[in-house]
Amino acid sequence: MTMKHISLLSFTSTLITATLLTGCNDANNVSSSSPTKDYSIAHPVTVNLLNRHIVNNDAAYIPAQCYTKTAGKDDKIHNPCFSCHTEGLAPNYINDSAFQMEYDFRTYSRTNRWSNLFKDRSVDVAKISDAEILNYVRTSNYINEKDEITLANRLAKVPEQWDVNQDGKWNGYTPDSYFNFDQEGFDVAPDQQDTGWRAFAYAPFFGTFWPTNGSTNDVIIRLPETMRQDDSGNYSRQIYKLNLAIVEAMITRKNIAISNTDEKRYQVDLNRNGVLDNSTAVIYNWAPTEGKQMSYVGMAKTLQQQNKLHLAAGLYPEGTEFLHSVRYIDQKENGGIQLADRLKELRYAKKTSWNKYSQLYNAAMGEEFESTQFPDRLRRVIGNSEEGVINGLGWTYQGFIEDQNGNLRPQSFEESMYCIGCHSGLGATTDSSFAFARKLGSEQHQAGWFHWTQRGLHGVPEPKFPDGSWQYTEYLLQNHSANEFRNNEEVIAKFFNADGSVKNAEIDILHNDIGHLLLPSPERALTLNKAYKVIVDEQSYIYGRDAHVKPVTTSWDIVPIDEKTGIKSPVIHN
Amino acid sequence: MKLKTLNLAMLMALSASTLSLTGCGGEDGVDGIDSSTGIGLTDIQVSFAPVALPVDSITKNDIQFTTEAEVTTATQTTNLQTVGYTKLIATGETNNGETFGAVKNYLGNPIQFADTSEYICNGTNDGVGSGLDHFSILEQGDNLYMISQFECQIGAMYMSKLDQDSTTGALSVAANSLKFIDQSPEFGGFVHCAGQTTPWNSHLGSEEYETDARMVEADADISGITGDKYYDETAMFWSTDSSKDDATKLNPYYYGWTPEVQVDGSTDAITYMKHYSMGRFSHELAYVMPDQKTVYLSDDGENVGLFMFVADTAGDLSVGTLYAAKWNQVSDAGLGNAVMTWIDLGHTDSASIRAILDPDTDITTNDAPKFSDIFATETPNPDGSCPTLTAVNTSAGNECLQVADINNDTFIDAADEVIASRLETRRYAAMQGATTEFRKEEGITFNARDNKLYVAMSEVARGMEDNMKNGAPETKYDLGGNNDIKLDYNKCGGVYELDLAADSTIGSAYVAYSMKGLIAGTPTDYSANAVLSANSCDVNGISMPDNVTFLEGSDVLVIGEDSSLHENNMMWSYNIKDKSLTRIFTTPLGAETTSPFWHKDVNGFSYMTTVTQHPDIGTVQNGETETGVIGTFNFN
Repeated sequence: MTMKHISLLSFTSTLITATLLTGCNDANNVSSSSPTKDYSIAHPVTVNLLNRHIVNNDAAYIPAQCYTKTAGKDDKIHNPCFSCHTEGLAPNYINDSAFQMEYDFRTYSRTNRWSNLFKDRSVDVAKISDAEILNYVRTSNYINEKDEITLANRLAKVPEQWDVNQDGKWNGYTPDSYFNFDQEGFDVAPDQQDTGWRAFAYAPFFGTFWPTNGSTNDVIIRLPETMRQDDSGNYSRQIYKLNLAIVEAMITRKNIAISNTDEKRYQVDLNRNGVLDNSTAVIYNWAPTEGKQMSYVGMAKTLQQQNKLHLAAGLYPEGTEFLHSVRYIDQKENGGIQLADRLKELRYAKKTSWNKYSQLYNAAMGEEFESTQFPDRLRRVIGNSEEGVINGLGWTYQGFIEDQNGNLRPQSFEESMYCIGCHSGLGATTDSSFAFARKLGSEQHQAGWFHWTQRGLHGVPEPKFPDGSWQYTEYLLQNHSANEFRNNEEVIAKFFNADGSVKNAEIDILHNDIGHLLLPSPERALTLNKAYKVIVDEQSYIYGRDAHVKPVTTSWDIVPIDEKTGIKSPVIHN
Repeated sequence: MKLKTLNLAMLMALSASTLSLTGCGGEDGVDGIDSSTGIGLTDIQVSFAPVALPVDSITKNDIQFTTEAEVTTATQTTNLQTVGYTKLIATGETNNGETFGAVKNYLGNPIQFADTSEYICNGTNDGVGSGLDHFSILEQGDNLYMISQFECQIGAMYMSKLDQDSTTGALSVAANSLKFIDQSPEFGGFVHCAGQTTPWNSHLGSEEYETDARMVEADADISGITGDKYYDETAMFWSTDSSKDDATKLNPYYYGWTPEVQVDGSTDAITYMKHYSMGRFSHELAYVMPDQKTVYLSDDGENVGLFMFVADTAGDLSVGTLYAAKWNQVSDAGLGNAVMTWIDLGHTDSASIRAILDPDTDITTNDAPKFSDIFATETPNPDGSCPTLTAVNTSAGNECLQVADINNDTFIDAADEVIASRLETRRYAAMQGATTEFRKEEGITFNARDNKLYVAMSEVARGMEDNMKNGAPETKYDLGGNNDIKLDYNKCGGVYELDLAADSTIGSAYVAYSMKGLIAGTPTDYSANAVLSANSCDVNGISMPDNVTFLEGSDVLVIGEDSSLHENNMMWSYNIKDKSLTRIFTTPLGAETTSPFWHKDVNGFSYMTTVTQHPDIGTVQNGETETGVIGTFNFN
């Protein structure tokens, strides 16, 4: 753990960096308006996908979690902030750890426009029966009974109200994973062909991404077609597996075990022993300034040599895709919980351009410069509902979310802005993303290549930070709770004593089984599902999409000027 | 609207300076214009075909420019001139083995990152990052030169030659002509912003956002690293690789000055210098007046000043007297109206100040002063006053200061004062009573015919308000300061007009004695308008003006924007007589319009330069900052 001394004077500039602002509307006359909408009568929000019009929140890229009041009862300080706001590892040149100590919002964004946080859904939730919600979450809105991807069918004849440029075609991502994974984690289409998608298991990121806080999730990866091909351009799962292992090595900066491989076949010294022999690992040994290069295999090797495909530590090759489904929480017959067939959201990311370290460095410094010059300027997000939004660092993001009938529809521009706050400008990300860098290692089940529907979170050991400390335990100790809103009473009762100290016996269990912390009881799962269903009925995502029944009491509605979090020095675990 | 009479203090201040209001500002020209500069005052009538407001994806994603100008001059009957936009060079392009925008270290080597990529001041492929801000066109000998300056925390400058088509006037960058300008003898460069082609055809640049030396002294660890990324980045200049762990060679007083590049037209030889004589602050632009002695200096930031330098010798900016402006408010209507007085900050020369920065004349040894060598300090009282020292409020906030014995001669005297006036110009000016409340002062330009100076103010906010921030009560920008400026908040900013006159005490024919609003942007609520909702200043008016350039002899003041409150940044032709505003250029989404500068007569052809900075990916310019000219006009 490194603790860098940062003086108050330097914060103001350091802090501002994190928000990667490129400027937009800066309404400064809003502080007097109340952020709390009256949803006592749930009028559905009318969603227009065809324009970039912002209905509620010009700063929709700042998630609701950032408005958490860090000072709790008896002035106890809660620090969930360290999860995201930390010292990045190059080529993530963001160091936003000072955000742990000071809110430092802009004039506009001091107002918390995620007004759903303050809504009491008790009455609406009570109207939904257990059977009704279970039936709902168990009904897939992704795959139909003919094994077709429902949304892909719809996009094939794009509805006019989704077609931003009115060209009669869908120009965004068309879902093409069947979520049908084999014993190596590969997604197999009904015609028995690999779709290229591969599931991996990972230690879910902190707080919000734990099922106990609202949703089950998965993330799958796909490398570009050329990285799945041999020299002749033919698909080769073996080559694809090797390239995925190489990417894993570059992202985690660790050696990755592979099945015994004859390096001569690929003409790549995977184990870096100086000769082409048999290798059981991709050895991470990359320092090009010292002449230490690494190489992809197959067609990708050639393209890399031609500078058409790139390899560098901490970066994905261009063309990499991620698909992340956010789902309701289903329960098993025996009482455990599992991923629901119904998706709340389908989130997609594609790396559309390669940026060198120096470019990423300049981007981080350029934001610093911009924020110094324009301390009230909001970030201007580029994109639209059809093509997705870009984060400025090479990635395009697109999301689909349930319409009022529970079918997936594209997110509006304002809803899409929500992606950008977490997928840029944070110290915690690796090439703008979270999950793959947290992939389970090769010592785990199927070397970490499996989908959560194949095996759940139970039995997965607690991850550690590079400094050896336990990650989730640290979160519980720093935050004194299980999520940013501190409204997860189930985990609080399970892991904390009445005096606020953690229960060591529970922590001991957690070390060997993250499911012990991350999975809710079936009863809680039902309640969270119902709470979210109310948002779906209202289509009120632009006011917040966090599942809770009672109003959140730990969020600022307007963050006071110059408000400090009370955290004295940043917690950094690099 | 409240009108006030001048108070006694103001009258006294005015009387200290000997203004001569007669014989100036007339239509018949101004004394002191050197005919050798070629500035003619012939009357030119110009109007431009307007560019429509970009409202669709095609016009929003590309450069739009005026295609036609109606021109009348003394020698030309009214005629329509078809004009176009010509790109010159974009960052990342190579020429003569150099990459346009590549940044180098103090040894002249590229700065290499761990993936072996070299540092180019150019951001990501998506257009996020810093880049080129300004380029000048210089005529020397038989050659045309282009000097470009980059706005990264390690500054860079490049020179190239321009080819000019003798028939059409079309400009292009000459093959194999790009050269890196070595700035290392003057500690390297820093955040180069706007610039000017001086009357003697040199490039006068700027170093913006000088680092607060007090912060550095308080925060630097044993390796000189402060945690302030803006400052720490420059450590890479002093490194042999891309590491910035060692900032021991770095000193904040090395940056925040005015560089000048002169080119010898017969040998292409470059002379690089920094004018330490003109003070250290957040230089947006240094603008030389026709006397080649008077220079106006804008200070871009929060709670900043406005400065004027008067050189001893025309064409030599290395020796002279620096002055700071005081705003004596007369009216708070609109952008306000004030009598301007000038506070003498002392006379010195660049060599003397450089000797303070580098006593052993070895740039690699950090022997420049620390903040505490310049000032003694104490903690201000809660009301902003000081127990014993002088209270100020500048970009560094409310402080209590006293000049120290900087030169260690056991006396605190005029010699120390003049060092403080250059190394800590803004703080020192505030101590002398100057106004340090301006907010984001940007471009400067001059109208010789009417003897008026124009200064853009990106927004009227903070220090320029009366104990307010963006219209809400907030004392911190005025606490302990003069609170000279008391205006209403205007997030859309405006352009000021300054009347000039000869001042025999100051020894210049171009001393501003008044400053008042010329044109302001208008905050407009488009939130219910699905097409225009990304705008919040009137789309038919200016928003957050940045660089400005006046077409000599005409009524045309061109105003460029750097605004988040217009979805597409625009350039406007403002007619100072009939007050009409014509949109003549729009940048693609994400881009700022920097560097507009009229070159009225380049071998008989006229151009206006532009830089389209940081366009979005997906635009036609696709993320790359590019230089270009609008033309060819004929104003002769």
